[in-house]
Formats: sequence, structure tokens, C-alpha cells
Amino acid sequence: MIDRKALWIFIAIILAMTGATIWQLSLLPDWRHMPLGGPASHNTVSGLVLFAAPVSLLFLMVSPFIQWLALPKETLPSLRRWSGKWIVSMSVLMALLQAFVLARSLGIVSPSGLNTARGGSMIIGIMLIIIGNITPKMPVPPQRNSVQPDPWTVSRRLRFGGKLFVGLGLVFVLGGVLLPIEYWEPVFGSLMLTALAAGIWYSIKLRHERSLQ
Amino acid sequence: MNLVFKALSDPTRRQILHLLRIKPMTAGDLAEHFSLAKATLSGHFAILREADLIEGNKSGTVITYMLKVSVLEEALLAFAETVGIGLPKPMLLKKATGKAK
Repeated sequence: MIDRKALWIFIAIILAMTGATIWQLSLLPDWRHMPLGGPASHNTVSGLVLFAAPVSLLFLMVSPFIQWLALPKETLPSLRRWSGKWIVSMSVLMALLQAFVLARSLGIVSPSGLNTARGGSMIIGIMLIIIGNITPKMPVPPQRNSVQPDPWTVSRRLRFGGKLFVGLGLVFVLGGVLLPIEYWEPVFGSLMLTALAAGIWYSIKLRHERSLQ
Repeated sequence: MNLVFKALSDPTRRQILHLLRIKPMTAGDLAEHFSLAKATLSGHFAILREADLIEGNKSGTVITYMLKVSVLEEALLAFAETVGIGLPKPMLLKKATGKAK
């Protein structure tokens, strides 16, 4: 079902993330008050926050699993290749996120609020780029009846969606670095609305083309 | 990634990908666009399939190929096409002079 090498990487990363979280919690006098900006910081949150990344990673793994249940057997080789890329990229990304949160709570890195916001924007951007890049590789189910879209339409939709995601990701990364924070809301907000409108327009266009055939 | 670079380095394979961008095609439809032996074309299809750039669906005796490139691979394809990777030198010259005109 799933690329075995990718699965082992996922298991190793999730174990390392959980282990690091438990180790960090064991260092705290009270796990309900984890200092965010280093041991001396008064800004605290619940230590359970550290489980956010491993739990998110587990949720992200649901997608290949659902597809494995829903898709027909002939798409399994394609699903295997796509899920391998998905699992490895998401695992690495979540591990980096977890490492950043841990390093911050241990006081190894002490970024300001501004840098954290910029870092967050860049992480979202990188995530969108990764997801968008591999979206066109998602397995395409064969057409079983006339109601279902044909594989070519699905493939075109995925390619367009992938490009939209990568474009948005690039804006998030570049905007995170270059744009003053006060411009973020209007710029990112309007771009996301534009992307949504473009997605709807492309869906209508494909449906119209299909009805003409 | 090596497989992708290998697949994109050949102008014939890039031409196949270019044709598949328009619509899915059978091996026979694609063969009409090239003056190459069937075995040579099959070799190109195999390399593209190995690199996961195309997907072949077999129905009966006919294989229909469909494009399956990631966004990065599509960008690499456009780059290789622009630079003319793998083209013989006279064709590169022709391409450069054509652009100058």
C-alpha cells in the first residue's frame, strides 16, 4: 500500500518527536506551564502544545489511508508513489516545526515576536509549496460512470490546484520575508480570495468543456 | 530526481510530454508525431513512466498515456525546453537565431 522506506522514515520521525516531547516535559517542574521563550521566560503555555506537531503529523497520514480505502486496485502503484512523497515531506516538515518549538522552549533560539510571525508565514508557505508540488501526482481514479469526471479532467484539476498552492506558498514565503506585517492581512487575504475564485472559475471552465464534448 | 533529469534531457521525450499536455494520447497517436521506430518510442515511454512523468492506462491492447508531472517537474520541463538541453548544436543555433529575429 505505502512505500515501505517512507513508512519507516515516518515511524522513526514520529517516535523521535514524541520522545523529544516527553523528555522536554520531564525537565519541567510543572508540565502545565512550559516557558515559551527559554527557561527564564514568564510567557508560558501548557506543555501539551508540544504534542501538536506529532498529532498533526498523524492526522496528515489519514489522507493516504483514506485514499487507499477508497481508490480501486489499479491506482495502487500510483498511490504508493504519491503517498511516499507525501509522508516523507510532511514528516520532515513537522519534525522541523517541532525542533523549532523545542529549541525555543529550551532557550536555544530566542526569536522576537516579529521573527516568530515571519517564521510562521514561511512555514505555511513551504507547506503549501510542498503540498502543491505533489498534488498533480495524486492517483486519479478511473471513470466508472458518466456522472464521475473523467481521469483527464481530474488530472487537469489537480495540476491547476497544484500550481495555485505553489503560487500561494511562494507569496507566503516571500511576503513573510519582505512585506511589512501591517500589509499581511490585505495582501494575503486578497490573494487567498483570488486563488479561491480562480479555483472556482477553473472548475466551471472544465465542467463547461465537458458538457460540450 | 535523477530519473526525472534523465527523462527531461532528451528532446523527443520532452516533445512527448508537450503533446500529452494537450490531451491524453495512445501510443499510436503519439507515434504519428515522430519518425521513429516503435521500439525506440517504447523505450522513451518506459523512461518517462519510470520517472513517474506519465501514466499509462491499458484497456484491451491500447495503452493511453496521460501526463503526470509535479509543479517542479513542469518548471524543469519549461526550463529544459527554453535552454534546449539535449538538442544538437545546429538546432541550438537555429533556436538562438530564431529568437533573435
